[in-house]
Amino acid sequence: MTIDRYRLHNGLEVLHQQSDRTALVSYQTWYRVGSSDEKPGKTGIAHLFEHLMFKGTYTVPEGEFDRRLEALGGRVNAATWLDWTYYYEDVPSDALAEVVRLEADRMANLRLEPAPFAAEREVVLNERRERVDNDPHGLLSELLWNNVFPTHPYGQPTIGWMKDIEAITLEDCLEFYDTYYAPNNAVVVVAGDVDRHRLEAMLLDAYGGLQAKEIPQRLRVEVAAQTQSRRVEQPLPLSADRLLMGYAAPSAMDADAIALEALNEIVGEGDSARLQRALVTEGELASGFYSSMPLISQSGVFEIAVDMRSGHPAERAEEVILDILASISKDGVTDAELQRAVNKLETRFYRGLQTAQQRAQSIGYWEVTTGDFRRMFAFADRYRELTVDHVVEASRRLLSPERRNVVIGRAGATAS
Amino acid sequence: MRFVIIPQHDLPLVHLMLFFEASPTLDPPGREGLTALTNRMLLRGTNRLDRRGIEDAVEDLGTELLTATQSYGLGIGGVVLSRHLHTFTALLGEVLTAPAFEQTELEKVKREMMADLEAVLDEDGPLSRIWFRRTVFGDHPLARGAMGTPESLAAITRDDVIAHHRRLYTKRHLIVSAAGDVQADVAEDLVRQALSTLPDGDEHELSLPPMTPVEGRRVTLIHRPDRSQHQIVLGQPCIEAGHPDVIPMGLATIGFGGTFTSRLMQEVRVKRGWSYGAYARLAPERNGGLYMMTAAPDRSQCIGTLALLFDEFQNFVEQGLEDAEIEFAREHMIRAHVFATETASLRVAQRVRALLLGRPADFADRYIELISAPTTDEIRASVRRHLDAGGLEVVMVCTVDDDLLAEVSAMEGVSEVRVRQPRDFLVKSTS
Repeated sequence: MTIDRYRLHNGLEVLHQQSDRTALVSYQTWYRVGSSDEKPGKTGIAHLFEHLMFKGTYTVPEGEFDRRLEALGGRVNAATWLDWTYYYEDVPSDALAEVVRLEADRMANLRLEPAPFAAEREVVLNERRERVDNDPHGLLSELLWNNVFPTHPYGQPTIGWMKDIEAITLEDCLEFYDTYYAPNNAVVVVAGDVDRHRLEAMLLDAYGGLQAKEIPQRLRVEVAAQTQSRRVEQPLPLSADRLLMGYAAPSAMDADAIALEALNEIVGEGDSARLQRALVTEGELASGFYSSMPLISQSGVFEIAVDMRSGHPAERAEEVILDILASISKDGVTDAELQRAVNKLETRFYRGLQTAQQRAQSIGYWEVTTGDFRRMFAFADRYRELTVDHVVEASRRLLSPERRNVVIGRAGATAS
Repeated sequence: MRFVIIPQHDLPLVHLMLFFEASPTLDPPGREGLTALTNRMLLRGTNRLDRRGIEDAVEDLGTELLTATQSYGLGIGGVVLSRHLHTFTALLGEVLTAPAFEQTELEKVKREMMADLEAVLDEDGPLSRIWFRRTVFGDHPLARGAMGTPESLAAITRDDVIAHHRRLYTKRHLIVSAAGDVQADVAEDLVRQALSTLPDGDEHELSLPPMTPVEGRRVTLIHRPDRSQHQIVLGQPCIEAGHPDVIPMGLATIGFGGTFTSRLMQEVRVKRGWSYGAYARLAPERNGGLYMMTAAPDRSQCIGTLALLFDEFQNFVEQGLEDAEIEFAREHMIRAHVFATETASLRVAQRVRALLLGRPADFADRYIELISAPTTDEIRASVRRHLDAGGLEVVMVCTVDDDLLAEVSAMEGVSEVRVRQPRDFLVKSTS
């Protein structure tokens, strides 16, 4: 897969993966700003602002952005996380020029008015109610990350605390826009049916007149070393307990991240995984669970979430998880388990490259998370170099009992 | 055995899924859940390999074997690195033709399914959709979920599973879908070889009795404590996937509530901020189908949102969409079709879905032509023909109190309000 990389005179970075297999294009704009850039008391502003980017500009009235792109057959959306905010438009390739014009326009000419701002803030409050306050997993996950990162901005929820969202003003948003939205703080990723010459001409035409800005240095905060486990219990109106466990993990740039990815496959992915058997299939303690090891810029989280079966306390799953990690520290993993994990990671890697949208997303994610999209391919190559010793040593050092954070959603709470 | 195979060689992956034309409506009375249980049991060991043996053998290849039980078919298969396709196909054949159906595993799977049913109680979104299906279909077989009830699962025996397996997994009902890094003849040969001992099978009786229309606006409130937000699902039975009006109905639905710029989203979210999302969806199945709308407002805005949904639906049915709205939806669907054909696996999935849903064989190939055909008047007429503005089944997962009950009961056209506990759906009758 060939990916062109170049930069316009105003600092706009472009990554382009051409494919003429189907007449469509995925166009993504990744801004290097996310919830970890937020000031205290202003949590949620990066995400709320992402919503406001659809509210119109001085030349494109409110609603027109979506209307024009949907008329062209486009799929349009956006997302915000710790270190980035990204906007995507998947369109038939003959609609690309319109996408480029609209994205460049809202990078510099957004128009924010009080009434649409107030309505959109209400939408975000409802989004929080749906995804966090009334969703047991969302609520417990928020608690877990807050515990894993008590002094790091990653511990603040991307959607924001309710009271902070309610307090965000239009002026706050205008300041946020003025500070972070500029060509030199963005990466445009294009995958699909457009050639380099045509793309570059469109980009120059649309973005060429935009000025670079002084972008604040990003905050990098050390994750405080954890020497004692932490626990939180939250009573919830559930029919069975839930358990979340999390460990601060290495950043995406760290060689240990690959080892923990492989370990995640061994303990948590698929029917043959150790936790699946011990918690669900054979142990019959849980109705389901998942584990994940997301690759993040400053620090990751090795996370396990378990939905207990009725009558089994969450502590029972915690014991099982601790036992499995202890047995890996003591007895290691087998060569067969590691090879299976490497094969699964290889399959997963290719599965993430099937559509233009997936390719653009992978390229953009790796570029803004690690500073160089090519790490995505290097990472895949390094799966095959993994050794049992590396995986076991990383598990022993990073997933030791005193480094765990435990959040229990305790079943049985009733209406207050 | 029918084959839908499209090669594509840019990545070393093959999507191989086997689909059997069947439905949970084939579950015998008192044995609800048998179809889904039998499908899950395929992964629990064969005459040669026990459960662990199968899991290890499949996952050593870097993939997983997945099963799915839908209202219109049973699926089993996975996505595998092309260098492992031969081994994967042989394992797939083994689990289908020589399952052990060992008693201990059967009891485990039954408990697993019961636990899955219980788990739904804690998720407002899935809970609202299950309840909606139960209430909108009433005593009709489509009201049954695939998962059965604790009582019906407990009654299922190993002999039931063996007999059901023999009935469902046959060459007659099999559609093989393969896409990716493999030649069509190679894939076909591999599957034929792996499934050579599968029985030919007899015809299923998949037809169902007619659905009963909803009379008036009937509201079921599913009480959960401490909800600050309420999940609303409302709608009525609607046409099946093979119905000639499924295209005009689909077009109208996209215009009404299928995109960000559609009416519902604009009225509920953009203008008022009352819900993060507000959608309408036509969900046609092989026999029968659903028309449904969803929203999730804050507790204080739920009556206003429900009233707005009532009004918008009535207006949609009686007045219809404007010509411009219909043409907008049509243009969107035609141009967006490119995304459904981007990869070989997506193209195969479209064709297989059409077969399973009983649509014409050329449905996928003629999609653009079909979407282009109906006039705006024909589209509005199809909406009036198939939807009843006055008849809506409403399910709301919410915290019920006297005020809410009084407000819902006083809403225009509401003929009945019932309060249920979440777990009531675990017993067969919900009336």
